[in-house]
Amino acid sequence: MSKKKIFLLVVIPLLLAYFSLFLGRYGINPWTALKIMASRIFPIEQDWPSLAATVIFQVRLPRVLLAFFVGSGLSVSGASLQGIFQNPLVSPDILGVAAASGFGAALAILYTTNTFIIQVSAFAFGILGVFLAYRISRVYKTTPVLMLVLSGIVVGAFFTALISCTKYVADPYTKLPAITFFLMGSFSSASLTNTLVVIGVIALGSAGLMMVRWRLNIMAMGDEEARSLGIKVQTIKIIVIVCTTIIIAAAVSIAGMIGWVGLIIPHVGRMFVGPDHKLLLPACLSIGASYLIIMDDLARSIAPMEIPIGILTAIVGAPFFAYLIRRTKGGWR
Amino acid sequence: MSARIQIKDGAFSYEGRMIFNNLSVEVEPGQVLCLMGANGCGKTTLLRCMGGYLQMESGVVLLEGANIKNMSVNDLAQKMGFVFQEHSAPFPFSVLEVVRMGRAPHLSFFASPSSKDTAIAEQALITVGMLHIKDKPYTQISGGERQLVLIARSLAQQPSVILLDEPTSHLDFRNQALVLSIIAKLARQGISIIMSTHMPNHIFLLDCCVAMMSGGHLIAVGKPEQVMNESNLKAVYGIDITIAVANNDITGKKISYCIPPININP
Repeated sequence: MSKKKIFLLVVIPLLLAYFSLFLGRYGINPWTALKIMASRIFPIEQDWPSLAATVIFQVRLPRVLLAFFVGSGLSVSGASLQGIFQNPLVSPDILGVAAASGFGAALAILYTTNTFIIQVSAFAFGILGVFLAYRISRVYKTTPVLMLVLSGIVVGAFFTALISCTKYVADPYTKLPAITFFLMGSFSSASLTNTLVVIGVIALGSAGLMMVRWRLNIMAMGDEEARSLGIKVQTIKIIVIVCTTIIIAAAVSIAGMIGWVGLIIPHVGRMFVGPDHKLLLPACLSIGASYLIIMDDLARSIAPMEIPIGILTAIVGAPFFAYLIRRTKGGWR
Repeated sequence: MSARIQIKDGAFSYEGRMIFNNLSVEVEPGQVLCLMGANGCGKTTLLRCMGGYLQMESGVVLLEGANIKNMSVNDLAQKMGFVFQEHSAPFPFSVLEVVRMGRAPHLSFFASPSSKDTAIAEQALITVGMLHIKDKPYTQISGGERQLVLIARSLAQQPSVILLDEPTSHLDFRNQALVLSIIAKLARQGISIIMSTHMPNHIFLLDCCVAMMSGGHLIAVGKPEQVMNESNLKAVYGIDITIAVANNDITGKKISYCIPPININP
């Protein structure tokens, strides 16, 4: 990969994150934003309203960080799952984790308004969903790809039905809109504390995936091929499934269901750096972060009222995917 | 000389149906063993048992004297390469990247290949004569090139044994000859080769040992000139095959070849 590409991949998400800090109804100029952040580390005399600092640290910074990590986390998850499933059309929802997490959140919303409980419930149900899918797919001591896909579909459909159940019984004036808006996805519930926890989990999962990324190339050649090359196929599968599950469950628990990112960004990454997972995964981190930061900027600035980000990613994502499949004529070669 | 790889009293059955039974054969360093037999006779099953992909019901596979059952997947891959029949990849990895995958058994769990590994991969591509396509996408090369690239990948494992499942099927005439030449070359370098084949004539072309499989047994094992006679071939394929001998003007040696009848009733 050329130095120029590496430079772009490092700089673009950081620049976007920085610009997003002064985007919004409360105007903060770039220089002030820089000074406010630097003032936490260096002794700089305060010449800005305290409100500006509050807006940056309590509202915008958590939100930008969250978009950054959720975007990169979903994208590396998508790329890794496409690798172990040997199929470029796999999205991070393949094992039903998003639906299961969504149900966890919806169920908690029925009984409480406490964000912490909602998040924990979403995360726990996401893990439970994938655990179920994994158990259903187990044949002897292996989990054949087709079995994993089918059990993922089963688990996804099951929890989607349960989400409908919670919506059906929810109070239509208070709870139902809360569930619906949560599932549409938004970064507006980001506060500094819950953001840090989610970022930690996503960073952990992403680090795990980065460590096995060269072996994902071999996994993509097929289970038996990988085995003939000395790869402990089941170990790698479990590492990838565990890491992607905690990433996706953490993302859904705070930001709701944000579709299409994990499916599309790996394709954009391949156009940019090629199919080698050793380069693809780092590229996905950067492109995914940039993409979701841009989407969140749009979500909070193009209309007087915030647009749920899940809607935006689908509206942008679906046509883009149509363009991709037209361009490659379904071949992906 | 002790056997590099051997199978002792092997037996395998699938859902109650015996595939092979009481089967023993051994291969020495630098020897080529060709497995021949009718479709569905269990050649591939036997190869897969020898590669550790299937567990035999009884009997053992010994690789350099060690039971492969007690070897880890990684240890096995350091000593044995396996070239599967037909393979396609979903992602357009470069040829060099595919060959570099052969270095995996020599790398620690989280490591990726170094420049030394790349050099070994390039050397393997030189051995099979495919270095010039190293940057091409694996998904866009021809079937013959792909077979040679997969052989190069197994060479990058630096194994002492390579198993190949019908390496010449689906290849054109030139590529069949090319793959056989490479196999002969690897054997001369001391690698033991076990390959299954549907082409009796290929067996005559190689300086090899042939194991003729029928009804779950090896009905004959030995030099092709000695055991590939009309009665053994009839036992394997159930048709009357004529064996003719021709002079090979290039090598000056006599070479046998099989002529099948073409008036068979189904």
